Amino acid sequence: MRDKIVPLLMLVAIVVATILFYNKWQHKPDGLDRMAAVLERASGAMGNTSRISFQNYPIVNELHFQARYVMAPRYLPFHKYTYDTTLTITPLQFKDSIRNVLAVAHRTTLWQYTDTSFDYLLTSAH
Amino acid sequence: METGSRYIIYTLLYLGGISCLYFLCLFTGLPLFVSVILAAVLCWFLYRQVIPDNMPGAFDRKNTSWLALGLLTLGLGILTTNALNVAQKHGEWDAWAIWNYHARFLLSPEHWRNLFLNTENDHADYPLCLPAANAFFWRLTPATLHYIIPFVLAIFTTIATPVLIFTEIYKKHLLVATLALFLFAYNAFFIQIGVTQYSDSLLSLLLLAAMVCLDHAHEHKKYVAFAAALLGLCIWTKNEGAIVAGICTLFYANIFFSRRYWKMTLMGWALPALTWLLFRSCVLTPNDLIAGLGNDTWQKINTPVRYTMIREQFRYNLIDDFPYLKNAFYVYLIICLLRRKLPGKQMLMVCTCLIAYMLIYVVTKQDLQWHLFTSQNRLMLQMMAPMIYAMCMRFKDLRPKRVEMPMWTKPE
Repeated sequence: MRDKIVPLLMLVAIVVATILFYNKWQHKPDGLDRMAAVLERASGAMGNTSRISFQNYPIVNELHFQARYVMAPRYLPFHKYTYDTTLTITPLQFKDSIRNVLAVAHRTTLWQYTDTSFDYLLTSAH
Repeated sequence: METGSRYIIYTLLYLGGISCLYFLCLFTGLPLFVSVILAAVLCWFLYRQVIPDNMPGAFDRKNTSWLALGLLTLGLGILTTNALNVAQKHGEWDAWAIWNYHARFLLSPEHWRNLFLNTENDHADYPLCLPAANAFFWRLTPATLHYIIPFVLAIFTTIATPVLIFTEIYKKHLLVATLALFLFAYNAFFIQIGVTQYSDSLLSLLLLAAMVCLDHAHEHKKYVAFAAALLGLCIWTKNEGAIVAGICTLFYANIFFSRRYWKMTLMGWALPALTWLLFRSCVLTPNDLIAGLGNDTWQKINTPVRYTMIREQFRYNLIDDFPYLKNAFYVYLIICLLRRKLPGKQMLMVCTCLIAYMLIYVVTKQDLQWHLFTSQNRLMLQMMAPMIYAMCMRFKDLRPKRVEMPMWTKPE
């Protein structure tokens, strides 16, 4: 009879760990949650053929993967798209210069947002 | 087999089975409720097959001591606390860039095949055991709780690995079982990788469970089917799972392909093999292990510096991530030497897997230094639990010999 206590103990450990994990993280957004929130706000203006570009090389990879994760399963490699809108994510220190570049390229701003770390700018070529 | 072990193997087979069935339903375009019904049938079927104890003389079995239960509770407490301290909300990099990312594709019955179009900068050829299981449970839970599901699977594998070894050993040698449990509980690297939501811990647990089943093959032939199914799930979990499954099948070919058991082997393989074959039919890129082979392979094999780099990184990982394992391995070798026995079949199998893993690095198409840095310690971790189990199976026989009193000293 006592043998059955072993799986019960395991079950209790898993349940307790899950509850504690839930309590710890439920109201604590991390990088992925922040990216999801921003893309949710931008999604109204983003079509199925939007692409995301990133500025400032050292952090591109992480941001790229975060955005890709949030956009899955809609996300496809860039060469599969005919881009109509582009979301540009830039660290705050480069915000103005990127906006100038996009303005010179005559891209229309559809949506913009700034959080504590990044500037998000959704532009269209039309 | 002990009750605790049977429940762990039941859960593993159930998770793997759900993963296969969910993928088959996606592949054939069947709706979610079919997967749910199949999952319920599988739950009932496996419960009927796995949980009954078929060991001869099961009723005469030694009862679990309160001391063992106390030690297990303590070990579980330490494991859980340490795991919670390092667990990240969405796991580590590979979790949200590969495993959970693939799961998000499988969440969508319309767009899931887009996963296989990501042939550049992604790993579309990675098998889907963990992503499909996550996706199935995600579809049954509200989106706000999605981050919980991969954690539950991760904490299960992290806890089940040491508990499976403990339950298999504790009635034979409580001290050895306890040492093994606490070795896991205090191994920071094992716990860290366990809750990163990667597939490495799952693969390790599947191999360990297959070894346990094979050790109990003499009790009932169903354990051969379970072992075959678990090895099949290894292939459905990671690409290197094919190496592990192949080597294990070769080492235990006398059981798997014997006249008595070959039907059981086929039954065990059936579902994971079918799922894997259909998965491969969707994948547009070759397996990344095979893709590494090319014209320069022979040149790589003949480059001694590659072997030196692999050995040095291996040594570094051993010191850094598996500090006690090295010492335990030396003790194992000394015991083998003192008893004038060769290392057991299980240990030879695990070492062969490790050597095969290291050979991947010799011919890798990636930059060797980067490849070693990013993955070698995780491949070593996959073999940690099976190796500790193999050691424990040898250590459990260690008992102080009782000195028989000469006849003339015994009282009349």
